[in-house]
Amino acid sequence: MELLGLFGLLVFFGVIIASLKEWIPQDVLPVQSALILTTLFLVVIAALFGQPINLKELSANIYIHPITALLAGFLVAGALEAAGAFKAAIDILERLAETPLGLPGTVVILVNMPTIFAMPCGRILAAALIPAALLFGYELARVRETPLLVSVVIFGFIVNAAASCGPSPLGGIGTMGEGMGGYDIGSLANAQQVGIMVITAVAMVSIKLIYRILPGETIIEEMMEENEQKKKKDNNKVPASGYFSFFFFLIGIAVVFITKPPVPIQTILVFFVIVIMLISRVSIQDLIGGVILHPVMAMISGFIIAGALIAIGSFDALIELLSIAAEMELLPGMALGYVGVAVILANTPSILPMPCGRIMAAALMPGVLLFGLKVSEATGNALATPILLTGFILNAAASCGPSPLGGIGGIGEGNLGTAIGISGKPQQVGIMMGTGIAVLIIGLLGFI
Amino acid sequence: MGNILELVNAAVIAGLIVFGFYVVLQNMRTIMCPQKKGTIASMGGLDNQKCNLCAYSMEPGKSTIQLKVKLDNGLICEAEASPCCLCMDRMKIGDRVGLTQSGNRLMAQKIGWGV
Repeated sequence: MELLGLFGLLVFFGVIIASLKEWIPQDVLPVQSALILTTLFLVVIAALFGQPINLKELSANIYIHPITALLAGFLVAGALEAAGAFKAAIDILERLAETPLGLPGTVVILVNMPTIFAMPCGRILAAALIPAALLFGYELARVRETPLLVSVVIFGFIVNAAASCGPSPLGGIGTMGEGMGGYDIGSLANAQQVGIMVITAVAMVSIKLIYRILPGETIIEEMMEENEQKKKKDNNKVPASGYFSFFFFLIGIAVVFITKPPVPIQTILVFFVIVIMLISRVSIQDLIGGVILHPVMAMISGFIIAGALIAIGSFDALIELLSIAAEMELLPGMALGYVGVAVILANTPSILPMPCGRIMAAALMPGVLLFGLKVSEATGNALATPILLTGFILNAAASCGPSPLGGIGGIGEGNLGTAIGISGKPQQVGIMMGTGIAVLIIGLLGFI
Repeated sequence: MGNILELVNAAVIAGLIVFGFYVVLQNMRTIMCPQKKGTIASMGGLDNQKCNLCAYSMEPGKSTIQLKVKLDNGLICEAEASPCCLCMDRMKIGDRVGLTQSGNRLMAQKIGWGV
């Protein structure tokens, strides 16, 4: 094992843990910036060790396809928003509540809506639909006279939104892993989507039965009152272009996955944008304002540090360390084994939850792929790599929900007046269960 | 036909790369030389919340957070910020923001007091 590689690995995890513990103040130095500085530090150290890293090595790990797909995805999201597709979604949910599905059935669809839409960043739908989630959550809690239900609905919706960037075909984290692993686009997505439904359900059940996160007192009082104003329907009519865009997007994406056209996803997404723009008459400038740079930057910072770690041999050190951990007997005759270590590796992103799952995903993906091959060799299971990859991707995608560094969970906590960070544990329990289900699906059924 | 498709695909990828650079430049412009500067007076329609995360989009179906910004000339204007700014940038009432018009949106981005 090369000393420099091991040192790089320790520095990387040190910076991640120091950021999580806020030993590195996030107001001053956000984790993305800290990783870029770490890269520069590693470049200097490598030069001092007589193994200089050149710019080509550093940039070799920056994959342009996930970045362009993500940008195209944000354009689609912006076009859908501008066309009123998210308003149409809320309107459809309100109509559904009046059907035999009723309020509980509609709430089930609502909390899973982010994964149905699968935007490139969960925050897009978290912001767009949280007013509806609050409205339906309040209504359900009032009808059942159980204030706890509003937390169940809100945090179920939040963790679903957080994880939804995993299977997103619009440049989601999954596309990054599928590209690096050489799998067809969307081949790991269905298992992830089933996993997300499990994540959502487990998080909701654990809040109801174990964690019992009650909203703040003033919120409960306000919620239990028969509030006519809240019940009043939004008089703003949803434009026809909103419904068109809503159905065009959902049907279009479904057709793309079924027919698998021999065209890059970026071209298809740009086609979607052009059609929606023509229908809803929005300008490109309107869409640019809606592009969120944070996930792009998070991903690039992850790619850059991964480039440095590859160059100094940190991933070789990681594989060696993981192999030692797999073979080491904790008790006589009892070792974690390669599968046991793979389980820990797949859950690393939610153990060290970053504000954007793309940071850990981009930084550790090469190591996960290499260890997947090692597990494949050790177990003789040809599917070991996609199994581990699916678990890691889903876990990374969902990890921005419980992140204490400005995770999406904070939006729900703020709106319900609960203590900040309180929703982290139920979300993490859900993520671990959902990750397990997603990998079982790939392991038992293959690429569904 | 195949060549035309390849050309279209290549043009799309190249266009998205150029677009990416443009978005980054726009973002830098908002941070370093914004069209307007001011201080956040309210977020998501609330002006006295203890926590920035209480704010949410006041308009259902909109994926941005609405802000009211007190400009340096004393006027109050409405702007929008991405939900990532709320959490990852810890944007809160009283923060200095730069504003840049993009289409029909006035986008806000956190800036330092030195800008």
